[in-house]
Amino acid sequence: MFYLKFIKDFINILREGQTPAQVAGGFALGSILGLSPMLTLQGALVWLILLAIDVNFAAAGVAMTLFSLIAFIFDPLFHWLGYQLLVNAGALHGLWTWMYNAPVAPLTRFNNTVVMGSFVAALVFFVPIYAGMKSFVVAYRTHIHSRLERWKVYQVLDKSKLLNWYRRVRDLKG
Amino acid sequence: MRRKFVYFVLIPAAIILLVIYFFIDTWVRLGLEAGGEAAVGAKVELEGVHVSLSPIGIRWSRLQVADPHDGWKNLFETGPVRFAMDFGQLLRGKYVIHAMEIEGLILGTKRATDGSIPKRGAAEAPPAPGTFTAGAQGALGKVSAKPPAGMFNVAGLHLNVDSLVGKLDIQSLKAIDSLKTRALASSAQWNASLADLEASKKKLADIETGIKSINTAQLNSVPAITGAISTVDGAVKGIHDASSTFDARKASIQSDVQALTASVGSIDRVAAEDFAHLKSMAKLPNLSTAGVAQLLVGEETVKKAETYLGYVDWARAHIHSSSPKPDFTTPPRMKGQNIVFPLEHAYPKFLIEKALITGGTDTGYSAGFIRAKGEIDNITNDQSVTHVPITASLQGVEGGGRTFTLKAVFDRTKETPYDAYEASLGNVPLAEFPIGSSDFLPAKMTGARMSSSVSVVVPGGQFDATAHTTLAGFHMTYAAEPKGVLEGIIREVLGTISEFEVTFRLWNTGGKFDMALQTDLDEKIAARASAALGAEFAKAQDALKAKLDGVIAPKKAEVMKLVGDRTADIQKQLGAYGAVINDKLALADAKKKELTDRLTKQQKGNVGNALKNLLKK
Repeated sequence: MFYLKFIKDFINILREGQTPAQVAGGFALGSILGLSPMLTLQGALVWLILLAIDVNFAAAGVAMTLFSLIAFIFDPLFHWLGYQLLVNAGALHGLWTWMYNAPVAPLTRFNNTVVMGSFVAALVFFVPIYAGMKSFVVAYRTHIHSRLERWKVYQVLDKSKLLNWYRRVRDLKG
Repeated sequence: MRRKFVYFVLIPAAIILLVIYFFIDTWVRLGLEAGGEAAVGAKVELEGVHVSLSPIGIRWSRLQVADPHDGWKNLFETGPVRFAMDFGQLLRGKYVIHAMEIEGLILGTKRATDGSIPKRGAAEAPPAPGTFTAGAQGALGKVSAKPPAGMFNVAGLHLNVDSLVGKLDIQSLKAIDSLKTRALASSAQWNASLADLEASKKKLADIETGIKSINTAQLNSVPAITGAISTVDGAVKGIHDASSTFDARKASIQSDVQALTASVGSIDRVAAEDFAHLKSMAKLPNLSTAGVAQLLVGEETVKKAETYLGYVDWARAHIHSSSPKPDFTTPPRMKGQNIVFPLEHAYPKFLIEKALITGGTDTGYSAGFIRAKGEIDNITNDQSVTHVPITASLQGVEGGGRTFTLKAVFDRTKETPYDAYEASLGNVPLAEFPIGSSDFLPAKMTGARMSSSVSVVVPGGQFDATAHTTLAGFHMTYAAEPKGVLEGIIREVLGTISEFEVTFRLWNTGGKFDMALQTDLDEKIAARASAALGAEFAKAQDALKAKLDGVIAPKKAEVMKLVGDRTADIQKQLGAYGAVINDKLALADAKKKELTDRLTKQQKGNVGNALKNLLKK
């Protein structure tokens, strides 16, 4: 029931509670953790940030789950991107060599193609994910939810087992 | 102590340690042998392997590495070898040996058992594309074991001269016919020119008559004299006009004469070409000795070159470049590919900093083989970490006077690999050295002593190798009687010398492999061939020349006479006409002078009369 509780919290938080910025922040940080496939120094750092600042934890959990799936699907693309950055980007070769010889940098596992590719992708998409999620939460709270309730499809589904399950989950007592 | 701990941890651990203790030597030996055989392609055998734990190291009493090209020989064998590994680096999974001592390195010893490893697949695989061995196949394949057709083939000198000359398309005759036609055409043109000049001769005669008709003594007045001078000036102008026309015609005719004379000279050049063609038709023997080296030692040299190229390729394949771009692989999902960057102040995965090799003192079965001593430094799997190339410096001596040196550098510290080898082998007795081939002079040299020096430089994809080999003190054994003059000559020459040198060069600095092979026998064979073939050769050549000259000479004489007669005739006529013009000009000049003098005198007389009349008044 741990995941169900996570989903319930997330759905609740979409409707009310923490600010859209807190929800979006948790979601964006969770996306970094979800995209990174292994335990790395930068992963630990993101965890630290996640725990230290007041962002929505449930949103982070959902994002981790969602982006882990995305990372698995796009793994070959991240591998290719990491290979290009590590091997074919001649201008960066000096930086990589310096980091490779640095005492702590190897703990980031930056020389792994998937770690490099997915981390760069996570950084690139961090701001769009944050902005997109924030806009979505605001929109959801203002009109999406009420508009959804007016749809005939929604009214048909309203009595369906799926929606009943959704409600049960939503109303679970934390 | 807990009983379960004793049963489930302590006792199994003790058993495992005991098993390791008793079997580790065997496991290490099998592992080293398997790794060595995979690298060399022939059996690698270790004896007396012992692993010590403090300090952690390995020693063995004997190592034999079989020659992959000859399973009954060892590439080398060693006596006792010992080394200790850096325990700290071993914990990091790195095999670092600071110093390895190798005693009794001996090259080329015989084996008691066959050391070859059966290759998978029946046929021997062709050299891999991109290797130096594959690249050199084209150049080495040019080495011919058969003499070129016609080389020293005196037996074929029974010439049918008439038939050969009959078949020859004689260009000289065509040139003579052409010259004759031109001479006749020129002669016709000259005759036309001369006809024009004859017409102008009449005009000159009229001018002469006009000049002569002037009687200076009868001219008593100045106007009469000046009128006569004007007449002479007009005559001079007419003569000059005729002279100009004559000069133009003469220049044209002289040009024709020069061209015809030059054409007569060119007949000799065309005749020489005809003779060369006739000689080639007769297949007169070629006295050039280019290619004799290939016939004698080509096959054996190519075999050795391919063997050594194999070693160069092996070094290229097994000593990896410093910073090659790792290939793009497809790892399992979420695993990725680890890219390695150069490490500073670190050890590579495998390193032998210094391997000290001593020759040993064994006087037993191996006393007859070369013992090497020296050192090999910085043997590693990754020079990008050590930043120094692998270097080898070995010297060897043997009681029989044989010497051996090898210096090698395998540099992979930069992206472009660089290999260099210098080796020398001195005074090595050869059981036998095959020369020639089954098609040409099959023979063996026995009892020879060989000295070689080899220099190979392999920067990147380029290759340049030069080898000098001297064979001395040999005795020749021939498998068959000489089949031709060349075989006989070479046998004679080899019978009179006690040593000869072979120089071999293989290079691809121009992009494509090329090869040069020569011996210092070439000049001796050429001189002997000239002496043996000279008389026959000269006789055959003279017969051909005489026949060809017999065909060409009459025609040539005929055309030369024609050209000579016509040119002499025209020159004579031109000279005569020139003399006529000069005569007329001289006559006109004399008359003009006469008239001028008369005019002066008359003018003076007129002035005197005028003064007399003035005084009378």
